[in-house]
Amino acid sequence: MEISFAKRGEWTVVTVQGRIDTISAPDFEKSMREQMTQGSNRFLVDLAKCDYISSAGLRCILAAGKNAKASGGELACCGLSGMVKQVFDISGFRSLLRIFDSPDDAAKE
Amino acid sequence: MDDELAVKIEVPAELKLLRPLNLFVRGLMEQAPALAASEKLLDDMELVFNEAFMNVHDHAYRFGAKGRLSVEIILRQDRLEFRFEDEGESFDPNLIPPPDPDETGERGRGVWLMRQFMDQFIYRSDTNGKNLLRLIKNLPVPGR
Repeated sequence: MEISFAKRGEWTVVTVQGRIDTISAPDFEKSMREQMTQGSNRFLVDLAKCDYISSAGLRCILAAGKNAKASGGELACCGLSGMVKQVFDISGFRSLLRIFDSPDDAAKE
Repeated sequence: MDDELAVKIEVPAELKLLRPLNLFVRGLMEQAPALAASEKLLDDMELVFNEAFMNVHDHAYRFGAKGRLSVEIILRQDRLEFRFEDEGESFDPNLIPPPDPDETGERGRGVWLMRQFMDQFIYRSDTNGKNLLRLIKNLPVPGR
């Protein structure tokens, strides 16, 4: 998994490439914690280049979302497709987090 | 492929073995035409394998015991079956509710995902302390 961060308006866009699973979830959590320490609390996780997510991946996104919310921010996701989209749907994540089509879509609001 | 391909391996339920096992199982699954033809189906089945492994790692052996795990993969053209056998803590899968849309609890989604992606989810715990989880997926056979 590769993770990168970029500012876009109010959002910190978190681009994830590859897999978010048991092995990579701790790296995701660590990177998100560092971003929060630096003052970000409004995250848009772009999963367009993420081709695989497990329940451990869902868990770390949800945990980051809780932390963002606790500091008055938010975590939303975008770019879902394929099995990642299906896992989100099956897990009921669409009602837990806001989902946008793309970073452009999120930036419009 | 032959009529049936069955492979049984016994490993310690350790996290460092998950990635190599995933790669091995994925390669094995590609022997079935229905799986080789669909990256999506391969991803789904890899997810189920991953969740079942983590279930044993996180729950059956949750008290730190480095337990053994026996994994059997039985592949036919029209069917894939994973059998996970461990000697750890048992659980009652019927007590695990589906994810609640209003509940932001972070656990319990693994079993739900396995159930959703597979056609059969059969769990049995016997009196000798062995737990067996059978996960079965019916595969589409081209031309049938």
